[in-house]
Order: sequence, then C-alpha cells, then structure tokens
Amino acid sequence: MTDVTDAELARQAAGGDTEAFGQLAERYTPAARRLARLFLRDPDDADDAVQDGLLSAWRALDRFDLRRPFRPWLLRIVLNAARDLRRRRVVRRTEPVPETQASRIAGPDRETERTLLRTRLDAALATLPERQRLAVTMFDAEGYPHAEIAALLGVPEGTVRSDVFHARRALRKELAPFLEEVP
Amino acid sequence: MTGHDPFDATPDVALGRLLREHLDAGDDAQFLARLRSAITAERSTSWDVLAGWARPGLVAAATIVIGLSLWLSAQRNADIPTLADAIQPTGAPTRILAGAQETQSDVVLVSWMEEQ
Repeated sequence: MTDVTDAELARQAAGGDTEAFGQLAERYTPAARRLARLFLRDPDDADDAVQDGLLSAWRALDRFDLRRPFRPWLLRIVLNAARDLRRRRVVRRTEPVPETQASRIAGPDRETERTLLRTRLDAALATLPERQRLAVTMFDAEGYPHAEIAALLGVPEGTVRSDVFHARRALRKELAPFLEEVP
Repeated sequence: MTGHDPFDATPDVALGRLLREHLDAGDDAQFLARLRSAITAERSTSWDVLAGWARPGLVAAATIVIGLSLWLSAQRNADIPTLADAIQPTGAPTRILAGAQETQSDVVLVSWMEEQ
C-alpha cells in the first residue's frame, strides 16, 4: 500500500474512502504537526489546527485537482487553519514545545543537555521572523524544495532562499555547540 | 558545521535533525486515531443530517403527489362532457337536456308532442 501514489489515494478519498484519506494523513501528519507547532508555538493549538486543517481537506477533496501535487495543497490548508486559529486566540501564554519521547527515556546528563538544547532552540527560533522560521524548517527539516516552500508561503523563490540563508546563519550561531555534536 | 555554505542549496542535515527532534510531537499514532474518529463521526453525522432532511421531505413530497392526483382526478371528471353538453348545440328540447342522464322514451315522446 505504501507505493500507492498520493494522487491515487486522493482520488479514492474523494470518492469517500476514509481509509485512503487515513493513509494520506499518515504520510503528512508528522510534518504538518511540526509546521503548526512552529507557527503557533503551542502544542495543543497546533494539534487543533492540524486536525481542523485535515478535516477541511477531507471535506474539500472533491475540489482538489488530481493533476497537482497533494502535499503542498494539504499543507497550505493546514497553515491556513493555523492562521485562523491564531486569529481566534486573543492572548494565550506561549508554552515551550514539550519534550520528545526520546528525551524522556534519556539519562540525567543527556536530559540536562536536551533541556538546554530545547531552551536554546526555542530562544533562537523566537528571534527569527515567522517566515524565516517556516522557510528554514521546511527546507532543512522537511527537505521541501525552494519552489514548493515559495508556493506555500506565497512569496518568490528568491525570497525563500534569502530567508533560509538568514535563518540558518542565526540558528547556526546560537546552536553551534549542539550542531558540532550531531554525528 | 563550520564548513557549511549559507547559500548551499541542499538541506543542512544536522540543523534539520535538531529542528525535527525539537518540533516532533512523538504521538502521531494517537493523533491519527483521533483524526480517524473525527472523520468517521463527521461522516455519520452528515448522513444523519441528510436522513433528517429526507424524512420530512419525503412526507411533504408524498402529500403533494397525493393532493395533486386528487385535484387532477377531480379536474378530469369535471372536464368529461355529459350527454347534455354534447347535444346542446343541436337545439334539443330542454326536457331532454334536463333528463340527459336517464333518457326515458316517454319523456322524449312527450317533448316531441309538445313541439308539435
């Protein structure tokens, strides 16, 4: 089932096949949740936005052009849901992204180091303009091409390259000790 | 790390991994299970709504059809020409017209005799 293309799954899902849509959601939920967390900086809000976005996508599947790539379409809907949710929230305390499963099972030294890394990474990301945060994450963490990021963010490709460049420079400066440790 | 070119068009693997680990929620399976439930619930809700609309709709449609049938039937009966309507232009005697439904021979005879 894993080699079924997005377009084929989308076609089946548009016909009402919830299992096909479940497979599409399984493919893109991790990335969608990371982007929503980056955008909203609140894990609960991020999950609400991703769920809203995925449900909207499910409802709108009959209007999806099967000749176009599915991932940018889906992520654009999720980002729009995140924007809507942020508009609805008046003031909400920003909470740090919770620790990952890996960090919970690490030893005390490793845990301290991870806590420090999280703090530094949060601080470093907070200094970046939102578009740079999204651009560098989509490019370096998700591996999306510049053109796709540009389409998602609604900016020229050159702007994405520039955003990635500035964001990388800032993040590398803040995270240099941690980055050197990464094997 | 220091050897990275900021203009590099390929993803920075180390930075990307840090970002992914930092942003990963780690419970995607639970999230997906909730999503599937929400979709199933929404789907069944949609059908319930449609069914809810359909029931009174069917009753209303049936009522309209029955009413229309009765009305048409009544109209059709009213439009069927009686014998009286059919022969009136010929100038037949009024007595015959009055008794068009039961044309008895004596009435016809009396009527003819009156005219004579």
